[in-house]
Amino acid sequence: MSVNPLLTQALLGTERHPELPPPPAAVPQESWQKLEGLPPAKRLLHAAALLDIAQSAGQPAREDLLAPAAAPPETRSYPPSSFRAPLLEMLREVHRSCLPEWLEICSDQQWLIPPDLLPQLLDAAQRERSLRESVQDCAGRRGPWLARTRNLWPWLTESLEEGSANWETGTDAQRLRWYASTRKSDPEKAIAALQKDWKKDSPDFRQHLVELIQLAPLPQEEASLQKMALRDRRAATRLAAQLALWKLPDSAFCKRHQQRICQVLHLQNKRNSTELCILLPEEFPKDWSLDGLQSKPPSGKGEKAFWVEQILGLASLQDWAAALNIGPEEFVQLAWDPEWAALLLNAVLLSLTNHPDPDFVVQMLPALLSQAQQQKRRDVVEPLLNGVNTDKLTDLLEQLTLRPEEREKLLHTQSCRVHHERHPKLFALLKEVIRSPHGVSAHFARCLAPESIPFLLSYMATLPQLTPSAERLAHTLEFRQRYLQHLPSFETGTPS
Amino acid sequence: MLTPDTVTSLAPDAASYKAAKGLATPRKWQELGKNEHALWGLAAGSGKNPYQTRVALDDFATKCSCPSRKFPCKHALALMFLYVEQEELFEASDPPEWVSEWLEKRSVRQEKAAAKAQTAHAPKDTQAAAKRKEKRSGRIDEGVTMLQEVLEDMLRHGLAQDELRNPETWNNLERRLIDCQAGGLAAAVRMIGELPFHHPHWEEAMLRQMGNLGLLLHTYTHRDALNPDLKSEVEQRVGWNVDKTDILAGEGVQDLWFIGGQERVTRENLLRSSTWLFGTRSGRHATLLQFTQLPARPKETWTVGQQLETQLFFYPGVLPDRALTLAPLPAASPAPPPSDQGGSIEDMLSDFASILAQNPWRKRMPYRIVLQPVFQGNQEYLMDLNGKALPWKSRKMQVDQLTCICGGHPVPMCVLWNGAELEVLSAFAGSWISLTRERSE
Repeated sequence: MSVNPLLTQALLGTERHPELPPPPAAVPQESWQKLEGLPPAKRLLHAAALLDIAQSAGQPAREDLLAPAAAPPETRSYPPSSFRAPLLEMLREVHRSCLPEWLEICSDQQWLIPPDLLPQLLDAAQRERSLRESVQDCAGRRGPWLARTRNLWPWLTESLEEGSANWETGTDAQRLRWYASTRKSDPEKAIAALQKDWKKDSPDFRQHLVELIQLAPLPQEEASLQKMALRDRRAATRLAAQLALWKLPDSAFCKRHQQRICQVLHLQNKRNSTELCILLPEEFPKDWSLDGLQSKPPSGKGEKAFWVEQILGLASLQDWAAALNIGPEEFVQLAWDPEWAALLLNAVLLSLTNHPDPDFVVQMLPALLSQAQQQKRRDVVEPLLNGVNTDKLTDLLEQLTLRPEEREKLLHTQSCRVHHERHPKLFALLKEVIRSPHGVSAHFARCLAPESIPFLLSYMATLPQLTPSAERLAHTLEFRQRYLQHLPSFETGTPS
Repeated sequence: MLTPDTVTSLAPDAASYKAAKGLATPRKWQELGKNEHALWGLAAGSGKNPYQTRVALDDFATKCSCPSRKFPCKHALALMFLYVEQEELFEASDPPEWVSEWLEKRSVRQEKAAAKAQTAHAPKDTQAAAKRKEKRSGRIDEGVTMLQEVLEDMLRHGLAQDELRNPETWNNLERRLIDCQAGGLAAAVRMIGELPFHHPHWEEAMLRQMGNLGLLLHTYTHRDALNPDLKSEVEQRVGWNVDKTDILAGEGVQDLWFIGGQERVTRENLLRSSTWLFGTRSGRHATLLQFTQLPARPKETWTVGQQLETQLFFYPGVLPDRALTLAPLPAASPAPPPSDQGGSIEDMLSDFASILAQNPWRKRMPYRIVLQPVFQGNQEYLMDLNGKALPWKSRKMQVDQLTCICGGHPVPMCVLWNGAELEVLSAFAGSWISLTRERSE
């Protein structure tokens, strides 16, 4: 780096360096010459003034820079100002709990996040992973463009940059993207890479890879799944491989497993009805181990029951019905042989975990809960409800026979939309929770249908005193009401 | 006119803002009312009696019977938020006694202040005033001579000496200049003394600023030979004050003024609030400055992107830009979208050079120009429609925000140019968006 000669003189001082250097390029020669004859320190001071003015006045503009490629035009519109204003408040940390709902509405209405607020939301989603999907959905084309231009928020562009990943040198995430991309265009190449490095790869990576395959397995992947993945040391990897092979109807595994299901699942006529029952296998054949089934049960469980749970849990309830040669509607109506009810319940729960099917859950829930109650099981409802959509879930919670604390817990943990007329039990529960001296979670502000907000607020206004948490809940409800009422789809009722 | 932005800007801190938002609900208020002068309401508090809260609509002065030491308190802020969000809740009526009494007292106080101001500007004892001025002039001259000697002495011994990196050196010099009543010089010295602590190339910056200050001192010592504008400019920069009443008694510049940017900077307990305006007919620009002792907040009735028809009264000087307005402040309305493309970087540089030729102490100038961000390595630039670019003095959040607003296209902006870097005040994306944040110096 070249040092300005005038600065050199200033740093050393005019006592040690009295001679004025030649003028810098920006300063005219004639102005510099006029300084001659002044005492050295005064001359340096004036020279510095000339330098200052010359540099401030003569800053050259750069002409060698290239503008970034423009963001592609948007196809969706931005929200009206009445909907934008609450976002400003939420970004100032007021009623922050309403942000997921705001993003959900923005997405439902096909609106985009205004560009001046998008970076703040991207930063928020960077910190809060649960917001990413909805922010991504409302970021439009400008979001990924901005992420690439600023080299920030990689999660926003990851799904768009499959081709850039590299199997040999990439990170685990890049290698997975490479595999996902390559198996579509050149499955043989992708499988060859998988087989080559299977033993060298980490157990985590192998699990993620098989889980990726499980989403939509290819027939070409059958051999790798059967010979490598099903023999993996990790149970999660083996399970993903089993589920993947089960999705390939022509695979040898699928055919063998169908036979196993048919062997254990039966219908019998008992007590004037057709009941679902189980026929326990006598032994654990060797080929079951090769298909990833385990023979040794965990402590407290019988080994044959454990084999049956594994066999039935791998298949969906639709597959069970198919194995019995009946339709899904008939299957839902089936009574269970009380002798096998506990085993069947475990197998059904395992099947629904491996193959979430909200429609089946909605139809079977009363029967399953009745079975659960008979067996004094209180841990089954929550896993069953995962994946059921908000409106159906709220209806179910209203109908189910539950203790108030169970209902409150579910209302708190699940995504519901309580309507004051359609869900009187749940609405009454909300009223009760608000009155509780132990306080009320802010989450309840979000589980109330917009049209029911005035009704709950009007109820709260009749209470002589609110706890601080109920007060906060009321503020959040008022905030929701204020901006939701501007939405075209919002219909409000008037409390009497 | 009260707007959500105006009320937000009045909040003394984030906690007050949040608390006020929580109170801005009809459930918390009784007897909400308004007339052309004020808003009022009874706020439910923790005590037995509700708090009596009132807000004057002309200058947003507030009074509340709550014990809060913050000003305005959360109740007053909440009342204003409630008014801008749900005006229909406020019934137009005669004010209750506790409001009318306050309004009357305010009006009496305002009359007294006006009368006092009148008295203050009554014909002065000219002899005594001249004597005072002469005495002050002598002190300032002493300060100027002393500072000239100190600067030359520093350059004699060199900027590499440790003493110049010692804050005490500059603090002492600042105190001596304040004793000499040369406030402008004291401020300049303080800024030079801070350079080693925040400027990456502080030695060069110090040399340049010392040169600029030396030029001011030299010009001041020859002020009697200067034209009145330049003389006044130099005197103000040294520390002479201009009487605001004299400025307001002068000729104003009538124009439709566009509010292009606002900035708030706190230093110790003082908040400096700057507003940059652009005359749509005259092509002039103006800077309005307000100084507020914290924790009080400046009352700004305008927001970026608005425009208003009014007269501005400029301080004397060379190409003056600092201005005053006559109270009461007129209401502003949203400005229409910009119709022209604004100037180019080349025009801006040429204009700034010609301004420096007439006034070498001008530090920065506001411009309206169409630009977009461009990047090279870690350095950010702003590029005009002709492909010319200048360095951009930015902060991380602003870079992301402006880049996203532009989307790779140039957009109209209001910027400040200081001879080295551009600072963005606001940008247009369907509406004008302020891009400044309150900061500390």
